[in-house]
Amino acid sequence: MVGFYVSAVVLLLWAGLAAAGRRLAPHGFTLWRRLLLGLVAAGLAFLPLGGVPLWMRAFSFHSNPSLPLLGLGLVAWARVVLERDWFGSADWLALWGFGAAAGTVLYLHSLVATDLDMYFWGWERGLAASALGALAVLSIAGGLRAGLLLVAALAAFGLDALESRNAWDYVIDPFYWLLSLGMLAAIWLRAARRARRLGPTAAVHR
Amino acid sequence: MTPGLPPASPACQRLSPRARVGGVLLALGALAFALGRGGSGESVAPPGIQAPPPMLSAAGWTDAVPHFARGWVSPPAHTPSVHGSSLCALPSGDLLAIWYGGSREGGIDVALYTSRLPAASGSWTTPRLEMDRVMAQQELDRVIKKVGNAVIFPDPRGLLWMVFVSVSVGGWSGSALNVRTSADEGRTWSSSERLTLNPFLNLSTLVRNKPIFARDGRIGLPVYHEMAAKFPQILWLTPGADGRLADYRVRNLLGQAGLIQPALVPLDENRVLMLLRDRSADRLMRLALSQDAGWTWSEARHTDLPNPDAAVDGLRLRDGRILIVYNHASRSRENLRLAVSSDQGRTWRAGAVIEETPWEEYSYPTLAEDRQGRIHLTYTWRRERICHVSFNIAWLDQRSLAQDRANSP
Repeated sequence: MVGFYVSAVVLLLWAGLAAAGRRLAPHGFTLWRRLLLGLVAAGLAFLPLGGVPLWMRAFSFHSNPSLPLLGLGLVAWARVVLERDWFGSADWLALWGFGAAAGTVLYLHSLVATDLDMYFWGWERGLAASALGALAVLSIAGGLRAGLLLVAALAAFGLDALESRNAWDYVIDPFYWLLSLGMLAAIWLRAARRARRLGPTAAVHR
Repeated sequence: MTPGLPPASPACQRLSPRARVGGVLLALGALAFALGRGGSGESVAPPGIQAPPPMLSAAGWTDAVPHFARGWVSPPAHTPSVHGSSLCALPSGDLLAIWYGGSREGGIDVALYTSRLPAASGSWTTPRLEMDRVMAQQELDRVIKKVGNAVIFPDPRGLLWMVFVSVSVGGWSGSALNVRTSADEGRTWSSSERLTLNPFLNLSTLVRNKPIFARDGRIGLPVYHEMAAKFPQILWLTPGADGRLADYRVRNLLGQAGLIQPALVPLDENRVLMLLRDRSADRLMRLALSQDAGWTWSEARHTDLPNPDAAVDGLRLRDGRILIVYNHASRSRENLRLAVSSDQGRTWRAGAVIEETPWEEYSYPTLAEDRQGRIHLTYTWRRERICHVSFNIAWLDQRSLAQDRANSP
């Protein structure tokens, strides 16, 4: 479990370093240099800050990062290190939509349904795994690569890869939720601005 | 196109039909794997709880001579400040107490200490350091700012459990729970395991009182949530065959808002009484009842006993009555009293005053019964020491009669 977490931290640091490197060197790094950044990232993960390694500080604060959040890190890593885009527009939209919906249901449902305890059902392994499996099958059958992140969440849940034993923690966490809400808001704002720029006539003609 | 992202290349459009078939097969494989791993936890009410010790009629009661004794668990000035003791009777007959002590509550030097009262001895052993923040940091692989409340209890198989609070971020409302077990009555312990009980960064679950034991092996530990909304919870722990924690889940009692630190008193094999600390302006102790072994609970109702936003504890006596220990005040913790109910919590008869000194603090009481049926109470004495009081039912009745006489006009 700790090994899984350390790997995730190294990957995210690697993506961050590679992204920073790409800004500094617009023509890009050679593959060897990008791989070297991976070693630097691994070193940074174990760098003691106030006597505590960086990965452990992250683990102390957020010990159950969801698989979609880690998947986002992996996709970002692929973009900056491998220079490959794994997701299309539909995948991004599905990912933000799922994060916003799942997080809102989990974190805010008790404001409306005071006696309902959604988190409890995440411990019901059969029910949780079946729901997750069905969602993964539907999204992949619809052609979404983002569905593979749900498959990863399902596999991680089966392996007890996170500290949590609750299925919800494998698919949603507060950071992924807030990021999803922010990205959906940005998409909506951009669409609204574009519609305003085109004006009502253009909108009718479209 | 998504903000901040370049246009998708043809390669990252939707999955091809072949890839979809492969992906669906992969998903089904992951599903079969996750379902195959299963879990040993149960999401249904327990089939009853372990019956409390057999009831004895007055005629069958052998300990008829009133007994009362007072002593100290923690030595003088062992640590500048102590608080939050928990007590249990071990299968060997020894008593074991745990508390936290340090320079002040929440200080970084606070540690958990245990002391043992051997069955054949009349004095508590020198406190033993069980856990501090450095040990917790090593065992839990994370930054620990402080440790706090702990409970210890043996399960029906004799395995001793310790559940304790640790904080990585913020104050007490940033608490999380950790569990460790001992197969030799607390002489050695397993490594601590962090429990994830809350979806929001696992913040704010605390523990204070002893559990109930279900007939199917599950342990129902009363815990509570403190961040933003405050409410009691029941943490169901499922022990594995190897003596370690196999599974767990927590049930939130969201209907009991504003009430924390639940204390459970089993009435019979199905009914359990819950006593609650009141954080509302009413400042009255509350009671809730479960008819299905602690799975679901009635709405909490007021008692006529005051509660100054302070912890209470209760115990079912061998004659079927319920004994509670509490602060009989609305604003302060300057006294500690006993009360007894003969009608399962509907009415209470005032019992002995254990402590009473204006402006001092006597708090966080915990009750346990030993194999002989003697009752033991530990509590925080002025934040300086952990005090131990033992008595029997004969003494309790004698003092209740005296209290009745004092209260009668």
